[in-house]
Amino acid sequence: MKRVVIESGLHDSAIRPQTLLSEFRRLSIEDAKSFFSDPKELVEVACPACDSDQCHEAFQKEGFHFQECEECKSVYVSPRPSKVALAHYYQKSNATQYRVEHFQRETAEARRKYLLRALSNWLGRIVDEKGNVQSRIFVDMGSNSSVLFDEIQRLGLFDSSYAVNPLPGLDVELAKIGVTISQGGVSGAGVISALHQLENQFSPFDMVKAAGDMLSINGLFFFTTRTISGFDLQMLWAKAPYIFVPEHLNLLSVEGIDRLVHRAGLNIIELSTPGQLDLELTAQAREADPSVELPNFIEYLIEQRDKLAHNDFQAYLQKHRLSSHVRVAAYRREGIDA
Amino acid sequence: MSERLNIGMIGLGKMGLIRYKELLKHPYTYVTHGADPNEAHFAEYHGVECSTDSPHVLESDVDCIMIATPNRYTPDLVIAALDAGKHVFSEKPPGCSVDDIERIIEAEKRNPGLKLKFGFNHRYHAGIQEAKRIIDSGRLGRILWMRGVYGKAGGEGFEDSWRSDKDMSGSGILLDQGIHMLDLFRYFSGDFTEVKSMVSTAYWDIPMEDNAFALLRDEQGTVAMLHSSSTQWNHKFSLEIYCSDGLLSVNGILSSTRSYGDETISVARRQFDEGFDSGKPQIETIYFDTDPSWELEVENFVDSVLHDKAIVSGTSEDALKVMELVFKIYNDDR
Repeated sequence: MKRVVIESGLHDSAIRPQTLLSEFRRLSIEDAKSFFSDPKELVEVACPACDSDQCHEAFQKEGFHFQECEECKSVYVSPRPSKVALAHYYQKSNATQYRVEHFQRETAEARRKYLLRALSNWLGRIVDEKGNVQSRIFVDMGSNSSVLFDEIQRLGLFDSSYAVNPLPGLDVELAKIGVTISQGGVSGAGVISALHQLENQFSPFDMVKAAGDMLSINGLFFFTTRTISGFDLQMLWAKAPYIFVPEHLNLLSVEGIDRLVHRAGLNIIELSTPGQLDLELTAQAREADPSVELPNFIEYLIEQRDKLAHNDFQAYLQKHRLSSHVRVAAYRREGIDA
Repeated sequence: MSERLNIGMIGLGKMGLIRYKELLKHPYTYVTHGADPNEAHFAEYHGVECSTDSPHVLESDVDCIMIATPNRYTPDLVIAALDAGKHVFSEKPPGCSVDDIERIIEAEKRNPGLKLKFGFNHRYHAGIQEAKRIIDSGRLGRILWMRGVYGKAGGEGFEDSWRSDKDMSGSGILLDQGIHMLDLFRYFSGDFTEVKSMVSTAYWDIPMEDNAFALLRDEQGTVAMLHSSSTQWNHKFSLEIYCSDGLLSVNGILSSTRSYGDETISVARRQFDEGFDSGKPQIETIYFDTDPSWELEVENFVDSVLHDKAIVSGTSEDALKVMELVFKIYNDDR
């Protein structure tokens, strides 16, 4: 299996400007209160990564209970909003509308520059290595902007592109660049991507399984998500300001993600944590919230060492799968029903 | 031929043992005969009929022979094995001179139904395979230049080892280790027609070079720069390939001792027209946790023999071309 380290000079403010993020967070928390207010409609779940029912409460946030799995150390919300309630939320909430109309659009070019171009190059490399080049269908699950499709089309690997269950409000934008919208699924896909979707799914297993079902034999599934194994989340735990329901129902551990993908019948090619922002996010959170307490060593590193040391520390986290941004490439095995 | 290949081995030392362990794991091979002048090596080869004489293997009923001997013996053994009707896998280099590989090729021509492969295993390292895919995809454009450094420390007893005995090895670090880097240059860029070099014996008391520096140029103008050394006190493998639209760099090579460090490939696009500062592109470094090279190389050979497929990597042509380069480098500095 491969591990990856990336250095691009990325800063959090480029892709998540504070004003946009604060407003999105405020709307999400407010919407969650109104959409998921009835505790009777919340559903108890086992660990979404390894399916273990052995857990203990890790922390509470905005009235939701985050559990830590005894087996794989994933952290997840349980009880949680039902699948139907979540679908309703993503169609109708103010937060979703804000995300599409402001957050994604206003950060589109920064995301293209720092994240999506590199991501599409990565995808192209894995296709060269292991892909099913016969299938020239590309699918993105839960699309929230058209920029990814732009970059993927630049690779010249696909004849047709589909957005499966995109966020509302993207129809015109996607149609303009020839992307077909599907509310169900597509079969025989060569490549499927799901960027930062796993964390907000009612069932990550269902999502990975659905991707496997849509793939051709040797088709590839790429996804990114946040992992609780990452430095900033381990440091900040309940006080990570950018973790909120329903955007973050599942903070799976690296080990949990490995088990999840195998349970769903796919084989992992790469499981990396090439995040570049753990230390920066930790420092920001500490500055914004005086109640955040960091170990002396981390305080010292942040205060007394320069950018070079910080970059080296971040590279160490990446190299050892200890950053909270995780990316996975997996393929559907021949003879296995995904 | 039976469904499983009966393998004989000549040379049961360090390299022979590496190959033997791969053959044991392979579902379509079994080893019955072995030969080595040093009986102390026999103990590792359980169930294999071992002898101190190579005819014990050459005259046996094996299908294939693996040859892992000092350079001096390699060509005659390869030729004898081919003339005995055996498929042959031989470690590099294919002897001590260009003449040696030319003699081997004559024997290969005499025995057209047999497979002959040389062990240039670096082509099968994960970092090199990844680099090859990237270059072949064209996503980084055309190759402008390459720079390869491959060096080891020599170490205690180096001056007394067979590798430092000119009669046994033919020459120094370039033929022993630098040949891998030259083979990789060819793997990525094809043949080189122009050679400039400096070769020196800088430290070790040995009758051959311990450092070789070379500049190579092909007909398209691609330049490759090599430094091969046995005074690299910290072991080093580095292959940089710079292309019209980006770069890649393979650093470290996984070995049993991990002395060459982690095996990584760093990849970047030439991004000064994409909003990044000139000289500061986004670099992605991939770490590889395993070395599949031995397994893949053996698998490739076995597959070729069992299914009568042409050898495509590590051919006698590859061996000839790289030996010609080695001796052009020696000759340019004379």
